[in-house]
Amino acid sequence: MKITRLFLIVLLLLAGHAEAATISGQVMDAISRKPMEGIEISLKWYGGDHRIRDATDSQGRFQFQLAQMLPAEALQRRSLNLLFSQQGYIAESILLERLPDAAFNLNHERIELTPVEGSSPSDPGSYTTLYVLPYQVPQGSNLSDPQEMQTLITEYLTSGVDMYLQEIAVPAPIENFGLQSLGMDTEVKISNTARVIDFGYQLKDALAIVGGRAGTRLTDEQQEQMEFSSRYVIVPGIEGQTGRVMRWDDALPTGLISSRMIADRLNRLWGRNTVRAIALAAYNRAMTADAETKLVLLKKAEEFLKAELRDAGTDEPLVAELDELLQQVKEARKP
Amino acid sequence: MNQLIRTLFLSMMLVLSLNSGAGERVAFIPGAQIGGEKVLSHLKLKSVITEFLDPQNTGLGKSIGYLVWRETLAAISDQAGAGVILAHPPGEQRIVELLRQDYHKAALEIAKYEEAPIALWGRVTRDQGRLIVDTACTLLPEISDTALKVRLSTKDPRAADKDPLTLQAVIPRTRFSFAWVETTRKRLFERSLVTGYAGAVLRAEPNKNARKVATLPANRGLQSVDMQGAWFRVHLDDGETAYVNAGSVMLPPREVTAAGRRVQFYRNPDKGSAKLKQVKLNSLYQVLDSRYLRKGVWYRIKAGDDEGWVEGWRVTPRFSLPAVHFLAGLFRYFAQKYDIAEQEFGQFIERAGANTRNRVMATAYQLRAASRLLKERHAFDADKQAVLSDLEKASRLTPYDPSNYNLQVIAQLGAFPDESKALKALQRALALDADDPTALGLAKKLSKIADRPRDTQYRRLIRFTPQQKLEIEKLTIPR
Repeated sequence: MKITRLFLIVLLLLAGHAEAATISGQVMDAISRKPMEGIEISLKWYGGDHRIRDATDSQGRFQFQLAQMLPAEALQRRSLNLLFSQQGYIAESILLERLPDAAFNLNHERIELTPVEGSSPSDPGSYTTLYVLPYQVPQGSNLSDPQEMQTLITEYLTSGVDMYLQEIAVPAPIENFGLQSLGMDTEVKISNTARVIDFGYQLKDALAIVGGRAGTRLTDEQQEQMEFSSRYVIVPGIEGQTGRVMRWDDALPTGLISSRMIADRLNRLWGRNTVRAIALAAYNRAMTADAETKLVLLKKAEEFLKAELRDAGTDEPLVAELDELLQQVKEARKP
Repeated sequence: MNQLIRTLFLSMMLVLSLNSGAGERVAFIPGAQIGGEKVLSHLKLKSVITEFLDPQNTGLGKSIGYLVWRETLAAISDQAGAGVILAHPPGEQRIVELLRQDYHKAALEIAKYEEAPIALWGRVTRDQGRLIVDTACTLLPEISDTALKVRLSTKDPRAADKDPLTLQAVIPRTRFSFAWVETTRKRLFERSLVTGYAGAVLRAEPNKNARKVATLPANRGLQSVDMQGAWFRVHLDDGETAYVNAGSVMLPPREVTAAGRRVQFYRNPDKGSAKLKQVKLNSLYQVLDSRYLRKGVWYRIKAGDDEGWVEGWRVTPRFSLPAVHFLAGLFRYFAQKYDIAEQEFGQFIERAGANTRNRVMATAYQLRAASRLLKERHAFDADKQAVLSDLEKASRLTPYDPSNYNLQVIAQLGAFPDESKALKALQRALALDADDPTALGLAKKLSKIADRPRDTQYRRLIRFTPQQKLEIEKLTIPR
């Protein structure tokens, strides 16, 4: 999937008193570029979800008012996850966050889903490493030295994630788990999901690949704003299983480029996504394993998900997804 | 990381006293098998602090490791059988050059080898002129059975009670990443020091071969202005500066608080000296000087125009990093010094900061609640509102965690008998995780209590209605 509007900044759209919460956009096939009709969109928050079947028309367009379909409780949450899915495509989710007194908003978003076909591993790897692609900072942006800024952002954002990952290795650390920052000359762009996943297969041990883009713009108040669009791509380990892509956006004044707040938030999301990736990899492998191995793998997935949920607050992003996966794993464990 | 060798610097060994907290350093080099003589092996409870990573080469990784080591020792200086080990690369080598991704594993390997159930490690970075210190702590409960247990028992050692009621829960979290602390060199290193029990040598440069400037006797106050590696730069009386190794000084807290208490100021660190004035202390006060005496520590502080010595136990120390309070709280908890543990976890909660992860804050509240429950001789005397408020806060922070509700069961049955609330809490715990071993253990225990004859100790304390008994039975059916 590609995001054609490079830096759609949800938080900016939400700033101030936004009008009614509106979600609209268009879903396209990333390869054929044709509109996709009948896509399912799931809206997830802590404590519930709402599925919209056949959400897109023949032009791939979707538009709806959240207030008409979600309970008030969901609209009060700090974050909401939108999952776009269709059989045979890699599901993509967008994390929406809102400021107090603002509404969730996503307007005229163009989403491209990548078919699963043609992106299967020839030799399933070991799923032990989280790879970090360098954040892309386009030449010609307002930043003084894009190359230097690219290095700074990538290093800064990766510097804290290792500490989080030490924590998630509970209760049973996966062997040889590691975080690997890829070089600045890596040609793969995080926005090209199909390419990222193929790259993941080439790496042999990729559990997931994370990266993003960053740039600047002037706000209405003429303040320079740094904008991030980050993506976490879970590499589907087993043929026929789909991966997951998650995207979230953030913005902050350029003066706070190295703010720990942003690094901490991103690292927390990376960490939580990593727990999901580990559990999903174990679940996927369990589905094709013999009975004994299946139980071991499902138990492992369950332990990881339980451990992460035990530590989560109610209003934190991804809690609904972790809980859903846990129920799925528990269901699979039943005799 | 199983290929570490540690060269033990026994010559640098510093034991503060036979009965109090002790410190030791070990150096490690990757590339050879773990081995060598274990340090502080005579002590029951130890932690390993690993030199802090310094990826940006601020020059402070080593200093902060030493600082946290000495502060932790000061925090537990009166605790018998406790010790702190600092693990550092030999000489002036930086740990980041030796270890990269394996830093945490190395800290754990060393802790395991030294049979220390607590490992603390961290990192220092610079961010636009500010210093950012990250700290993390890992517990190894498998070492010397040091799980964080909360155990209440009706057994009275004076009574011949053959059928005691015992309730037990575990605080299961073992890994903690603390919120980063933004600080400055001045706040970390500009402070008072006291020479250790073996005295201290002052040198012209920060290395052990530099010219000796002076030799000071034990328990002599010094003023530090900065730190370089393992060496404090201190002011001398003649206005010159010299260096003293962190391993040869005690590091009192930089500041103390007293929560509005009236505290007696004395002319000297001695209760027999002239009493100056009673002063109400309701702020933070910098420690100007201190002394570690047989009967306890003394601090010299200034409050407004009043300056004098106060007894250490009358005030609450404030260490450089909230992590030091957490670590000190763990030491006190394991040693069953629950009143001081409550104070240390309270200090941690107060200072932990808005960026503290839910899991860490929830555990701090759990530990403070447990300390409040256990510090009384009879749990019935515990401050009900304070205990339940802490457990409620923990539940709000981590609502999916069954251990919050297990602890509520313990409190509601063992201290403030409310069978109905206890049962609801247990149901909640098992709804979150039907396999939670603590909750299952508690369900079995409740079932036993409900089955007991009316005249036993159990039933005198706790009475379930027939309806509640049925609900308990449902909980014990395997799912």
